[in-house]
Amino acid sequence: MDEDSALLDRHAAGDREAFDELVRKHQKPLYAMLYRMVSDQDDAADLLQKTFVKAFTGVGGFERRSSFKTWLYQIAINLAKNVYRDRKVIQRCSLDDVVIRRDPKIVESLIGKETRLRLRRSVVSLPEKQRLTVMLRIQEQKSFDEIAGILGCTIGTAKANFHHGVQKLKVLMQEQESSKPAENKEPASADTRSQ
Amino acid sequence: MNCAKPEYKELLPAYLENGLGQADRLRIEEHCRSCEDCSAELELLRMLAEEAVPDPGEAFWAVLPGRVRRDAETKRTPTPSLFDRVFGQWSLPRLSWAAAALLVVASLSWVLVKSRTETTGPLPTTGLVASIDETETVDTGQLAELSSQEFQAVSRWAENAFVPVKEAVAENLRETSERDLSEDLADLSSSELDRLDHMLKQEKKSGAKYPRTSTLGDYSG
Repeated sequence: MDEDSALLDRHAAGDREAFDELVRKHQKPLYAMLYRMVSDQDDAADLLQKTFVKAFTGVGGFERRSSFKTWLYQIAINLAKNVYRDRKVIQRCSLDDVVIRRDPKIVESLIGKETRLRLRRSVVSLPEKQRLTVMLRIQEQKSFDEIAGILGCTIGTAKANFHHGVQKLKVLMQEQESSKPAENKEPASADTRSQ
Repeated sequence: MNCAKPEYKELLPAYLENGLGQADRLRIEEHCRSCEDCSAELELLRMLAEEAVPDPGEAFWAVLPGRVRRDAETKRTPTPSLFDRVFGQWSLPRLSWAAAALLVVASLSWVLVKSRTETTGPLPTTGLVASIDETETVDTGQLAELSSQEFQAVSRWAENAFVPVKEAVAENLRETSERDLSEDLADLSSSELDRLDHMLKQEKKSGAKYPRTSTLGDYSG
């Protein structure tokens, strides 16, 4: 029995501390994924709390056919999808944000920052399944098996979505690179929209 | 230009995660030196992997479990019913509502029973026994379902309602004692008169007293 299952059993037996431990264990990776999905700290924090509340209130119906972690990611992604759609994917990716997110020791040149900004814009332009698959595989370091469980698809589909997502990212990056002169006229802080 | 060896691309994520053995790592590095496509893709994936996430701070992490539990417990609290939402604003305690409901039930019961009695009409002063026999038998099971307050209310009603009945019985007895029985006795056969006379003599011997206005001897034979 894995650690999560043991904690779930303790929670079911009335141990209030058990669910707190589950929250503490998964909160940071989940927050990172949510932040990457919605690109907003407050939204990510709010979604994180909603994810755990939904898990807490629905844990009685969790049949343990997947791991608790996979189930949590499913809840979080479904909640974040709604926010993502409701906001029509307004990404507030300013150059300042990029600078703040980076460790000062490895802050790159302005060209590098612009590249990251273009990457961010390209990621949010991807179709949802491709975007989620790329994000889960590269940023959350999930295996294709786990991704298939989280997104409810086959491993083959997950691999195909990843491959197509990465190829499309490269194309989008090249397109932005070619339209660079026009982009440079825009102010440093810009909102991007997709879908 | 696209890479002619897609099997290398499949290993790029694992390479980034340090999930490859030494031999495979060296193969990837050597390939990327000569393949522009795979090299660009590896750089793209590296940028994605390194995208930093702002930390909300230790205070946030510390309070999150408690906030989750409080929020979850609030959501688990059952939502108030329509009745509570409509009448909940009236700050009467529950007991008051219960008492009021009981009063309404008792009143309705009384009105229903009363109206039924009125429909049946007053009991006749003669043929009382027959009238009582025709009355529906009281369902004691229903009485058992009444609360103590309802039962008291019904008892009070019954006490009042049967006063006329008691008076009717007394009146009947009074009339019987004062009435001339000649006509009634004339309808009896001789054997019935003999048996009645015998019974009265037996009762007289035992000391029982009956009001009588005439002797049976006059009608016998």
